Amino acid sequence: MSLAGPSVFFPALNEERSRRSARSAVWLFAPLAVGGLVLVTTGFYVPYLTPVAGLTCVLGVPIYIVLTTTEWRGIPLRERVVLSLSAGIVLVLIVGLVIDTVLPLVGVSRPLDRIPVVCVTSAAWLVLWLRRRHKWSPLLPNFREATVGARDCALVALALVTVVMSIAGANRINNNAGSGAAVATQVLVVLLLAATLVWRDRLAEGTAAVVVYATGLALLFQTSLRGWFVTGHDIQHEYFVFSQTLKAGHWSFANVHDSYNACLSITILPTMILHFTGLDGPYIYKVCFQLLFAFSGVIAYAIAARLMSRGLALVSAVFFIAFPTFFTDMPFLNRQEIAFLLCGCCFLLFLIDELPLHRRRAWMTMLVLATVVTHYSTSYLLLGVLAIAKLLELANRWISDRRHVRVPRSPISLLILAFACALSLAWGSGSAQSNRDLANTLGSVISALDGSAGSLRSDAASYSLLGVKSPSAGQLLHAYVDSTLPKAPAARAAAEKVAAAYPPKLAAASVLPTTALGRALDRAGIDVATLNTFVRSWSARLFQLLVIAGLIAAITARRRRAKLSIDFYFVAIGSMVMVGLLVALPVISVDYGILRAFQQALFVLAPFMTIGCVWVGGIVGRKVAAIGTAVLSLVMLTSLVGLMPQALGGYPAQLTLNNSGQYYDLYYVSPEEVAAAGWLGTHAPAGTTVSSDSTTATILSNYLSLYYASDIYPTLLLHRGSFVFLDYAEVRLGQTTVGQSGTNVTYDYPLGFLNANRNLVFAEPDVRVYH
Amino acid sequence: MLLVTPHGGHIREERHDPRQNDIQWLIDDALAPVHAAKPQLNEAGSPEESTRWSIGTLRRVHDLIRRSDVVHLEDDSSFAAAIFTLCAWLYRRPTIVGPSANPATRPTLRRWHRRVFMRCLGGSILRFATRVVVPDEESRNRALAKDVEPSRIALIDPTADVGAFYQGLYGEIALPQRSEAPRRQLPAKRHVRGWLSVGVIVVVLVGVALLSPIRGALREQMALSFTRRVQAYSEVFLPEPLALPTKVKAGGRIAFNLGVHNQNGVTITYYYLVTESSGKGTIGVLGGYLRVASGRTSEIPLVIRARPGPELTVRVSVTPSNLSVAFHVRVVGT
Repeated sequence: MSLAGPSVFFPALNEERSRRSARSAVWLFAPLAVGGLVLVTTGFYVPYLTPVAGLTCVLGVPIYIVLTTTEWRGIPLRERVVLSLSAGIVLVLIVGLVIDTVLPLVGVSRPLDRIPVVCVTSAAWLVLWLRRRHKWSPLLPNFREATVGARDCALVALALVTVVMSIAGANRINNNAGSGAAVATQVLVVLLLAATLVWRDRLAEGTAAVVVYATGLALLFQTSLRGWFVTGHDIQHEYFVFSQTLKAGHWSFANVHDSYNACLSITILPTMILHFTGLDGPYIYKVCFQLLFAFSGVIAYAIAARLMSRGLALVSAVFFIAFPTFFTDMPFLNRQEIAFLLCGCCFLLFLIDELPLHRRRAWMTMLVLATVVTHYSTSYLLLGVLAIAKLLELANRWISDRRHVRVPRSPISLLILAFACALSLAWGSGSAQSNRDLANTLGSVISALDGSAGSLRSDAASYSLLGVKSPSAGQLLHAYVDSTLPKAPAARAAAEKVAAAYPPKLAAASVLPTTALGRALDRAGIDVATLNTFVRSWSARLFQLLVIAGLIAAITARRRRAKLSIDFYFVAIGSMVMVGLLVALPVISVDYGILRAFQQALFVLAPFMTIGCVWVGGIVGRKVAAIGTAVLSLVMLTSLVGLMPQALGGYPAQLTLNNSGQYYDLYYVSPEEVAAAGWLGTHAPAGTTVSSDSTTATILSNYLSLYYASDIYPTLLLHRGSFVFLDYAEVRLGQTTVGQSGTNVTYDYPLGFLNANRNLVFAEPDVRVYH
Repeated sequence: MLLVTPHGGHIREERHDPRQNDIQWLIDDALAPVHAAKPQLNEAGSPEESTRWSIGTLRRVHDLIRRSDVVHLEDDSSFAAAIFTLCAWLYRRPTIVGPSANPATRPTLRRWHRRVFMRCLGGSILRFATRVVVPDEESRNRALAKDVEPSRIALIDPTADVGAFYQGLYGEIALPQRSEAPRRQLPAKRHVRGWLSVGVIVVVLVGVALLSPIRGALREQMALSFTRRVQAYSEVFLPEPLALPTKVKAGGRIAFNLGVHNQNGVTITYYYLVTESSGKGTIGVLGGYLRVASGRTSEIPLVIRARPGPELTVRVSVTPSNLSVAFHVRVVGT
């Protein structure tokens, strides 16, 4: 079989031009492909080349096959790309799951090792290609004739520079070389988006999508590449379940008994990517997952572009990536990153009218089911949104039938919903913990509704327009101290004595020093701390106000109503209701982050924010309103990414720009910590318990197989025998943080207790180990 | 036909009558407002034009040239001419450089100004021009010396009708039709090829810069940006934490090991000091040096005598790392 032979690979080409393009493309890429295959199959690691070749083999190939062999019926390239991307991810998950299930039956005990993964996956892609090659059509049929303007080139080049700068910026802060490059990256991001907005009508079709992708990726890299090890909150445990899968060479619910392990996106998917790319484990999450998740901005743009002009669609995308969860938390929530991609594509399907209904439903089924096995919480929210949208659609259909008006059917059907719910329960029963978590949450909600439970809420609920009150930090700290006291009277008396000797005290919030610009503002009578807090807190409220205004505007203005798909409007209502439920009902806000839910809803709600802003601003004229909306989105981006606080000071430091701040203190893993964990692994006998704060315990679990007590309040350390591991926050700052009811509470840690009662057996500048 | 020129007023007044031809004067006063804003006298005592450049002026020039068919420069030795040439290059507009005096002989130019124009800008403006109009043989030779092709040089007869001469020249070089004007868009393939070339050049340049021994600073900055710098620190520890003595008799031996790990990139000689603290105060009981190579760990056995006291805290402080380890011992028999 000839690799370049068109009769084998491109039998369906009719036009001579397409055939010539295809042939030249094959000649161009064949050597690269062969070289890449050699690198991947031999496992020979060449920096940069092997990862690129591996990522192309494991994800690029299925994406390309879907992209070029699907009948898209003229939908825009950006939508084809994101749908193909999601299909590619699903295909990798399916192949991985088949490998994991079938190979043990034929005697392969470690099916997820490198050789089986590479061989079976490559064979799967070959079979996929051979089955679909007759549908092949060129990706860019008019590439030879396509012209690109100077502005497009400039923006794409600047976008590339921004991504490279973001990598350099994060690395430089990691190396203690200053934050200049990181700040410059953020300035570039804002300038790039501003230039795209200004030139929106003079740019080629795909340039805006490329800019959105690049700016999103730059912001994600700024967070994900902080630290040389696994940095962040949930990512620590995600890495743990991934490493367990890798260690076992096999994925099963029994590997780790918790809900994280049920997410194939952080078990099978990274394992397969690792075997192809040869990257270090942490960099699968730090780089590869961010490369994928940056497409979520493109999905948001694609959704908005279906509803409004290019400029306003770009503004919607800016709102989506400016929401702080996108760049501060999502890089630490890798399972949710993949689930968001699938979820966003589900929402996009509501707007793609070019595809026939049965194909949209097929896509929807695939994406919803994949979301269920990718991340449980995202799937619960997605199913909730889709169920509400379906109910509204049924009600609308009932009313329309009475009026004898025909209403087109939506891509979600009751059968798909039922099937997805069944899979969700079945998958949850495999990982007993997922179902238990869901049952506990629902039970707590019911208890809270009848008043039998407390009304603790996550502090994120305080940003909501509903005006719900969260408990103060002082109340939470006292509740925490009470929870550490034992119930037995004698032990309780001793613990109370210790608690009285070392009374808990809330730590003072540390903020960046005021800069020269900040001092100038101070002199002008503007308090920078108040200004930063005001902009931040009002940004959150403004997001909600604009969404509500947009929902009203979309249904009241006839012109917009004509353009809007009613099914999509129902999805927006469903998203708003689900977010409202999270805010209004206690416990859920603790178990599932409100901010994450809002980020998920922003796929649908960001266009309504833009509509709302233009609608409200329409009082002073439509053109002014459009310009004002664009300016507002950029101002919010400037503030929320941390550029404004960094320029003014007087606000807590951001992890992306500083080696300080709450996230740095809590989640940054230094080489000293890893070395100390190594020392502990050598010197602590098996079965020993290590006490540390909860975040450090999760970090240590990636380096040590010991038992962990994830709390270090003195009343819990009265009995000697365990090792106590203190990290940067406790040693350098004298503070520690506990998670109480979904809120982090930081208090001054009484080091004197340990110095007086325990042996200090290991010391580094940032780490101490007591015994 | 749309004509643009920095000093259009003069051209219109002296050489053309717009009522007699179809040239539309786009810009006869493009720079007039700024000329008027800053009058100054030359050496002869007469007002001299001086342009105060600003972003607004640049935008105005840029916009006008974009709309024009021909750019007419009166000379090759002014900053305005350089700016107009740059904009004309940007939009691929034909330019005519009119007869001008040799900058070397212009008394009103400052010396550095004259040098700059003679060396660089004047030559570039002449070389770029579609037509260079010269009044005499001396100017023609000067243009030839600047590598201007002879076919692009046009000699103007001072006695001829200047207006007709220029009008013919405009018609000769102006773009045939606006719609046929060369667009700034290039095929995507050429862009891809161009950017790949730029990428290769950048990679080669960066590679050369990194490999070059004289570019140490750049290499260091690149390393800080794209590789991990090993962090320097020391570790101090008690190697057998579970075997530390917990109870000794007063005056009895307390034996333990001290371990130090050096992660500083150079060999360090550490000084350790063992102190004992009890209710009666703190005293130093033992000190010494421990030399540890980079990346290595050294351990040393230490023995001290227990001082009286119900509770004794033995602390080992290590400098220059300013780290310490400590353990508690109950002293019996006091």
